[in-house]
Amino acid sequence: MNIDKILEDNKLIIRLDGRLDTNTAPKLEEELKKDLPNITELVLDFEDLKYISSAGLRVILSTQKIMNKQGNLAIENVNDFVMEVFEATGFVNILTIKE
Amino acid sequence: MFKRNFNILSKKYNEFFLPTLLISMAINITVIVETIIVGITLGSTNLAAMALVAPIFALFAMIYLLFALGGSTLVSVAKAERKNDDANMFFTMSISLLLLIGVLIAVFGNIFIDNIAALVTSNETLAQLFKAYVSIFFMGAPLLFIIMGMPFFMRVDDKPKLASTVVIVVNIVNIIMDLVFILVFGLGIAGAALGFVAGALVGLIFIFKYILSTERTMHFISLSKCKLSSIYDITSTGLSSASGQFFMFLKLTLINIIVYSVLGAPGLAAFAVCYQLLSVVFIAISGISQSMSPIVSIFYGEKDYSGVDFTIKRSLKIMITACIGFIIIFEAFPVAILNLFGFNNPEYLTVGINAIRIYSLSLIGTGITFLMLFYTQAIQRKTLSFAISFTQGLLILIPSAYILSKVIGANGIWISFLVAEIGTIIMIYFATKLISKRSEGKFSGFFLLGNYKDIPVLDVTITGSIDDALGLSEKLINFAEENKIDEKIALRIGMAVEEMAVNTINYNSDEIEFIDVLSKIGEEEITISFKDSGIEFDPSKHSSEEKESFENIDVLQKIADDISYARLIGLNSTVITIKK
Repeated sequence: MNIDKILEDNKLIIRLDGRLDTNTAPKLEEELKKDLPNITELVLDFEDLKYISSAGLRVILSTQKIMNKQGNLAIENVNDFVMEVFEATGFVNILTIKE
Repeated sequence: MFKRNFNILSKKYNEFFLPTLLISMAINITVIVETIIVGITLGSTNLAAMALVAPIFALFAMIYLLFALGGSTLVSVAKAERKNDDANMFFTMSISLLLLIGVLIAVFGNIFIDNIAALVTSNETLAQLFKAYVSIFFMGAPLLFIIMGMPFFMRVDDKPKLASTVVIVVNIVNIIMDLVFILVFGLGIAGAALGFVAGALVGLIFIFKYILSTERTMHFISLSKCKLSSIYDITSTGLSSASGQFFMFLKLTLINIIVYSVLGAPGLAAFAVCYQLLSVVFIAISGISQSMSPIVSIFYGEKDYSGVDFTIKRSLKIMITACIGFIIIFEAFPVAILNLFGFNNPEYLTVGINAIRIYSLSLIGTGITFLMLFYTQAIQRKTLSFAISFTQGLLILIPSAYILSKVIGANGIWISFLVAEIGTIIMIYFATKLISKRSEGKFSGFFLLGNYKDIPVLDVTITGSIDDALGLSEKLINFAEENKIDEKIALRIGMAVEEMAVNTINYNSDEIEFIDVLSKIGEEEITISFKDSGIEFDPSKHSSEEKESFENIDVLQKIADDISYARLIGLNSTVITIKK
């Protein structure tokens, strides 16, 4: 999985490309740990994210908990499969998903 | 990458093989040792009385094979099909029937003991000895049936070592107590019978250990919940093995008549030796066949045909190798063998050497037909299984022994055993061809394996590594897309595989070596079957303590349309279904 980051003042946009699974989720978690301090607006761009599993969901959930304290988190450009996973698992109720 | 490697199956087979071999050895060796003890301590008249009881023992064996082997086979199949209620019903009915028939024998056997004695002998001395010996077995029939029958269920419940412990302990205590009761207490032939009862009582301790175990997966249910039709199912399944005992008794009687008419006493003695040699070979034949049986029942029930293929072919290789080993020994050392049985007379030796050398040639065939008898029983081909028992035991052997003895002479009798085995194998070949044709290709080959016809199948083994789990996830997504599955469904399949495999790897603190994954794309749904030898874990019933948990299995439960689980012979078997 590739992780591209765009930082604009206190806004961080992270674009993911590939699979967010058991192997790649720890990599995302590590990057977020480094970058999240001082970020008030976090956007996860899933345009090129093809696949997500529970490992990815858990990283997003822990990130959501952090951002709830210091700002907000939004997810955009979610594909049909990832949306289906969010709906099936109830993640749609936890996250802010932009169309 | 990810080729199916049958490591899990291979290990399971090995776990079953030695204990099952030991059971077979314990039973067969005890018969020989007990005969020697009675012969030495009590003399030949008592031995003759023991011989008169042989048909009663054959009947007892028929009964516990009919209900225990029949019932345990059905339990295996029911568990593989996730029909736990049926499995419990077959378990309950089989044990209940064994107890009921045991009680009936205990009551009526002793009421009619004089009539039974009169049937077997007109000699008053032998009749008294017969009654003294058999009355104890009649009284102990309920105990005997439980002791001999319960190990079949214990093996199906992944307790092959405990099952073999029961049988070994029963037989060791039997031998020791035979000596105590006969030599110390002077109980005569009744002492030999009481020896078995003493052994059975000790064996009962281990049976109770199993009954009280929390790991037991078969449970007793109320008889009112059991269908009467299950009696037919149990008996029809066990019939081929049980009838084998009956045909053995008939075969012995008829062959003895033919042998005596052609060769006289030397021929009878030679045949007796051949029969004893067969008892030794049967330790291996029975051990191999009964190891294979529960594994095949379960894997065939789960439609894991490559697993079945591996198991039966492995069993066949071991069988043929073992039989070749025995043939080499018997062909090379017939004189030494005959000397062991007290053959010194030159005429007896000549007949004996000839008999052993020609008779031995049939052993490979015997191994194959016996294996196929158990195999067809395990895959629920009851009619074919019975046909094998009947053909091998009587249909070809007796007529060919009679005809060949007239045409060739004495050698014709010994050759007829080989003819019977070859004839039975030919019968099996044509019968399986007919069944295959009638099934319109659904089942094929000598082993009547199912085939997946037009269903795309991916049958692989992964190691217990996260990389392999994820590699398979990607492979399965590609496989699904290649077979025109909608992309979203394909990704869901890949996700299901990742969640299940990763959970299995993480749940087992001791490393999981392999996981077998069999995926099938059906008309309306995709099924993914997982098998591993790790800690017992039911993903269909798992629930996290946390309300909103996104652990592997919690997410799997939300994205899969169905998850079914069974613990089968110590393996976790999970089937995940995703609808198209």
